[in-house]
Amino acid sequence: MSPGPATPPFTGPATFTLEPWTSNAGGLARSAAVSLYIAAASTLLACTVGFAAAAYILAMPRAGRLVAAVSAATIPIPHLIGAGAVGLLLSDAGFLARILGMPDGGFPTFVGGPFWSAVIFEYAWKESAFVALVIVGSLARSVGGLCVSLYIAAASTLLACTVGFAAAAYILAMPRAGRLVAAVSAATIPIPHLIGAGAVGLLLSDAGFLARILGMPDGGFPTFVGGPFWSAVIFEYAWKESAFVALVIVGSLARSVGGLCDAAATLGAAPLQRITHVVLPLALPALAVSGLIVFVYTLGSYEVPWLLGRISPEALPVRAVRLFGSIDLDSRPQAMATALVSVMAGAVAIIGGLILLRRLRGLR
Amino acid sequence: MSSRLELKTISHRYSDAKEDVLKDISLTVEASRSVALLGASGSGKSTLLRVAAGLENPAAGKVLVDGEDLAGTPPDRRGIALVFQNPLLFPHLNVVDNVAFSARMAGFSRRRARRQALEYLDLVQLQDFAHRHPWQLSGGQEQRVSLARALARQPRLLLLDEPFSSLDSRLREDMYNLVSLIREQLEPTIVMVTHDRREASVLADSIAVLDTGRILQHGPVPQLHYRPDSLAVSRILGGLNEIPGEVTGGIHSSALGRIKVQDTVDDGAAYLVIRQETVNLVSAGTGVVDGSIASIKSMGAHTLVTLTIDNGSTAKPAVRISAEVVGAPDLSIGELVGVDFEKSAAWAVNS
Amino acid sequence: MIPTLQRPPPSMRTSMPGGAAGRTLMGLLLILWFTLPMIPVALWAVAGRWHAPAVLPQTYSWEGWSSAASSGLFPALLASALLGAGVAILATPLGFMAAVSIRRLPRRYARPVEGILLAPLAIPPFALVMGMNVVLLRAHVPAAAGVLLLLVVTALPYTVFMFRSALAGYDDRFEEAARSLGASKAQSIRHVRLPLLTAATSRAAFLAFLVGWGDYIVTLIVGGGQLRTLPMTLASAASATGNEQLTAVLSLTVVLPPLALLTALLLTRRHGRIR
Repeated sequence: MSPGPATPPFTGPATFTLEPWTSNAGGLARSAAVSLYIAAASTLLACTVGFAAAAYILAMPRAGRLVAAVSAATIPIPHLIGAGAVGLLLSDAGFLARILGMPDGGFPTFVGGPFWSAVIFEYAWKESAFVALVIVGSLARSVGGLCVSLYIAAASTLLACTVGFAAAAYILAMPRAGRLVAAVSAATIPIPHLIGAGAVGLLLSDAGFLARILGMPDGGFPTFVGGPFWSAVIFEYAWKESAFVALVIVGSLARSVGGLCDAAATLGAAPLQRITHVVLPLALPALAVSGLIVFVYTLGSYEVPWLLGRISPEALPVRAVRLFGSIDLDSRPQAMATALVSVMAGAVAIIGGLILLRRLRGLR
Repeated sequence: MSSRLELKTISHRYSDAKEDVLKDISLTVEASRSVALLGASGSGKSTLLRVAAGLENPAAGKVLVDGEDLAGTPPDRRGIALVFQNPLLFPHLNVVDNVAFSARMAGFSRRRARRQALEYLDLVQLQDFAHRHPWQLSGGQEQRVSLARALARQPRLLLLDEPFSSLDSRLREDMYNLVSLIREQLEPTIVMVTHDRREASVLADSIAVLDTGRILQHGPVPQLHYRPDSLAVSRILGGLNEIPGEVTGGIHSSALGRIKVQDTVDDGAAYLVIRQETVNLVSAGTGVVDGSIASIKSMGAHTLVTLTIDNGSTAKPAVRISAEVVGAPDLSIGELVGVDFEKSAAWAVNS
Repeated sequence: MIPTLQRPPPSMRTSMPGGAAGRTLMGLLLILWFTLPMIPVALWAVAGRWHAPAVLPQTYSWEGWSSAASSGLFPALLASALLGAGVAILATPLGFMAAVSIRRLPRRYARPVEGILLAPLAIPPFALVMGMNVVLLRAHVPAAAGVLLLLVVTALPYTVFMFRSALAGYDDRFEEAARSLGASKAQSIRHVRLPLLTAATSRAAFLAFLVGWGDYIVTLIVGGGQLRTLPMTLASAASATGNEQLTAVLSLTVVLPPLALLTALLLTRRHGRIR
């Protein structure tokens, strides 16, 4: 509600009317739409460019520093100056038109044009620097962790899928011994990763069981636990998840693979060819699904890298939980940012994995 | 692509079974001939094919192809193709790659394998379906691809394990024509397994009747039908008429009277077997014997008429004889008619 | 959990390359792979003195067990069992109801609903817990209830998935056949549906129990140290050095009960239930 048209302003009895809303409703709506359009387009562009810049800054150590400096430099420039500069750049006879050699006609009207291009460009230019620096600021510390986590997840998944497929092939092929392998692999499924990590610690540590069996308790034995390659962590994941992969494959193939192998044999496929041309392609969808599950799980699991990993660089989950439990109040938001990074990495992995899976189905 | 197959005294038992599925089976299939193994489910006929293909190792006996003993030769090096009851097309390969599978396994390039595969697809009239996936095919098409895939292996022997049993009757007729075409063009040696005696008669030159792991009789199709070795063979081939009686000196005496049968039958109790298709109904008194009509059953274009022989004999239960006649004869239950058949072709089996 | 195995055909058996010796070796290697990490656990659990160069323990004793008992093994065992049972009791029926309703929904809605129910699988548990912890604290939810709630959410994807796959293989015509044979609606549920879904129910409940029984991260963050479950006790033992016996004993107490349960489940299944 706004005050109506009163002859002397702010005197006399107040009357109320919707006149200012309705008299020029079209213009009001149009202005609102234009503002919304400018805001949306600028935000979209700023976020896209900002994200690209952030990714570049994080990925390239030297050139990234330069990009960071330049983008930081644009932050203190007021929008008024920015608008002036963009005007000089984009107007009909501006700098860009002269460079492109089309000062009169031909050059699209950016400044004051129908799409508000110059306005959107100005906002996008200045705010992309802001977006980039915010992203870099929140991610810089997590990126090391992200790389470590991705490395662990990728290595574990690869190993788990390889061993899991071998175990599945064995279980499917061997009538008696296969049953035993199926039983021991099923028995590892209910073991929590925490217990697995503890057990692998007892097995692989400097003075652990393996070092004793191999007879090199002091020195000589490579540092698996807390070592530079995260070997103990990867071994634990591969151990437990290979059982999972094996059982998923066996479950998906048990019914069909026998007959198809018979058919392949009568068609002249030698033993190894049956594995590579029949069992493996048939197992591929199950292998891909279980591999994706293993990858996402290992990316976000805390216990194993915490017990068996290195302190620096930290895996993402370990860093997040440590910061979350820290007494320092500032570290809470950092913990949340780290958690968000690992959620996003997981989401990207899942989306990528699903696209890959669809391809795989399309191939069949 | 045709070889002679000899199975010599083959016995087999599955590890978890109590009884042998195959008992001392011997069978010879000449090159380019087609033999049907006919038997009920559980008679061991599929196992016999699996043994021939090398998918099962027999407990005893030999598989010889062109005189070569295949013991110890794995299935992939036997050159024997098997078409299964279930088409078993590889789900990860499309139609043409399924047919090209054996050539790929033999090390040919993908292009060459596919070119050859297309020829075989053409043979089964499915060239247009080359790039479909198995799940986009109908049951009959799948089975045709499966057949093309087996033929593309250029096998010495083609084994068919009830490949048409899941198809409807029209598709089955199409498949019979296809197999005849393949036999004309490629002349493969075929061993097929079926429980359908009509299918066996249509597709095979000779039939081997299997029952509980033994071959009861192996011979040309007409022989099996008209001159069975035993009552079991007669029954498996759908014979309905078994007239009990006594043979002395090549003469069978029964409710039908004294009838000269083949010389090879032993003296003593014996059944006269007469195919119902060869029995004619005539007016009373003009046939071999008279009977009163006990039942009339329509079989479509044919009618099965069952009569009770009524010549004052006191045989218990009353002797019955069935006749499969063309069309729907104008008869009624209880009517007295004459039964006639070719006496010179009479055949008896010892009981 | 073990898929039913058919007798593999000989062509499959000979598909394993490497001949009889290679096949035996591969079988042994696989069994070793799956059992290796638990071997030192089993040895440490009964070891007395076991100094570094010795391959096997020098003396055997029950020391580890008595020290575990004195450091709160039994209360921790009880807490873990209660947590596991609580999660199983809540997540199993919820999972069943969710699976049934997804099945009834039109496909267009069923997909997103299923996606939401399976989402906890995609989110790292620690992130889920860190986010929810703030909410739980604000809402003054007691720590134990918060842990239970979060674990039920974590377990739901498993139970939903179990019932979904069981229902996918379940043919409604069984019940229709029962109805046509004169069973009432209730009777067909009681005598047909329930027996056919028993196996799936026990598997779902087992998985949900495992989620509660073996959880560490949720108890750690939301429980705030008040809830001393077995994994919590184990983690503090395993993260310090020189606690091999205690770690081994606690590991075995975590591992053995679910294995016994799994064996029992498998044995009851062998007595002629439909999968």
